[in-house]
Amino acid sequence: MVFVASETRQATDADDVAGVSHGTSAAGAIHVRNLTKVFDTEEGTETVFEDVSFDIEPGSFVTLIGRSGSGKSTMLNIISNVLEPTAGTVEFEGTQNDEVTLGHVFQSPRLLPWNTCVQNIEYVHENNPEYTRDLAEEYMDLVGLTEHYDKYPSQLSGGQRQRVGITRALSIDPEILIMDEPFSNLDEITAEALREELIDIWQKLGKTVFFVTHDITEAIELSDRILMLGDGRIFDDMSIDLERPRDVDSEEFLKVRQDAINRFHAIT
Amino acid sequence: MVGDKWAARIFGVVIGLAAWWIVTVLFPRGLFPGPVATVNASWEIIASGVVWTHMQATFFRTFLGFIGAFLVGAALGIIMGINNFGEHFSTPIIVIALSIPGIAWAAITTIIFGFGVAAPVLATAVTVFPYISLRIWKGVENIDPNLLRMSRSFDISRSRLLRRMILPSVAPALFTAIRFGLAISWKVETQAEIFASNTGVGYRAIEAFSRYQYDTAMAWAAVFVVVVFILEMGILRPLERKVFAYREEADFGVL
Repeated sequence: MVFVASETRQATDADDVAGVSHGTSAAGAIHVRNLTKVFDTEEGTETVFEDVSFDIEPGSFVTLIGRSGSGKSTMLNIISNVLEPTAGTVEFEGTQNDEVTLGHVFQSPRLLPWNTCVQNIEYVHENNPEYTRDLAEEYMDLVGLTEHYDKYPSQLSGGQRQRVGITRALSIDPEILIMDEPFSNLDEITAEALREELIDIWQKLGKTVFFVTHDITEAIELSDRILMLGDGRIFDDMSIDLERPRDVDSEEFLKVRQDAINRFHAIT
Repeated sequence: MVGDKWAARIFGVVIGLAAWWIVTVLFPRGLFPGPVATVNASWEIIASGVVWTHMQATFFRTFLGFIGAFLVGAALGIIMGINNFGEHFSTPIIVIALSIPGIAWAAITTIIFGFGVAAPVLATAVTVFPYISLRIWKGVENIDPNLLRMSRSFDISRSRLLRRMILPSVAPALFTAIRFGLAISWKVETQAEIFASNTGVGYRAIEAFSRYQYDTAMAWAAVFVVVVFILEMGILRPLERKVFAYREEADFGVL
């Protein structure tokens, strides 16, 4: 995997925490080039996807959507550097040096149950000499967890736990936030509240978000752009131009949703 | 709350002592030593000082045997928990080892090493290690693979992973392994002393028994029980309470 430095911007506001817009630099761009993944199975080889290329604009909110088994997780794992691609490259543009920081949010919160919320955030700051408790608290304030700094995960609700998961990812100040179906385990009311908060935070911090889901409505509500994965390729690339905040019951929204559903079913 | 706890504990001890006393009364006079006779006999062996040398010998060998069992048992338990090969490799060893009685090991090791430290220590180690393996195996299996993946995603180093994620995951299994391991070690060790040694609590108890000094035999056991009780309450329990503090707090929060 290749990491490409951005030469267009310097890290001027790297120390700022909440409430600072990181603007429209190239930091946080993702370039996927000719990506192919082939798994060796007992019956031979299985091609998950072949020759997939796309670019993600810095600061944009892009969702990868696909049925189960379409290779969403494989794609996500390659972009997260957990899996090696069979062929092709993933390049990032970072804020400084030639490294980019990725913040991961998972389907389940994946918190250490024996650590408090603040300790869970501190856990991922191993190589950050500037980490202080204030930093953890500031990020927790951002997602409305001010009362819960020293609580253990088991003392929180499912939605609050996922908020801590999001806080942990944000706290390392990543250029890119990678979110793997983060709301699919939550009840719809909680999930909706978290989606709105996520959009608020994204607009405030201006990070690139690469989001994976199988929920079309969620994808349209959140994204600038939807990549549809299936048949071993990105078979559709749909821009969502609805104004924010988006009302899922509005006529325009439902029209876009119907269009997306039609396009999503085009390959079956 | 606290009062209830102590009342229950004292009640349990009183019931136990009463049962003991009833058994004493049922037997012909003087044959089965009661609580008072045992306390008197205990006081004698404590006052004469003889108790310390033998207790020290038993403790030292129990501890050595337990350490041996723990090292072998933990190693097997870890490889069993990590992969299928390890599981298939270790399972027959553990099943066979579990079925061999400690007293048989004591006989075998005494034939090989004769009297001394090696025979009872080795007998203890080989008898106890499969119990440790089983506990550690379950502990390793309980490590959440999602937390491992999370740690990997955030580039956590191996040493931090071990300290902050792996050790707390296996801590409950580790405590059970230590507690059971020590309890079984001391039982095997004292058994082995019967014919593998001429020192130790087990040796002195069986010696007193063969001389019909039943109260002295009972006293050796009683003194040891008191020491183990103090170890449990003074070291193991407080340590456990500290390690699992997060659980109590968490439970309290849910209420």
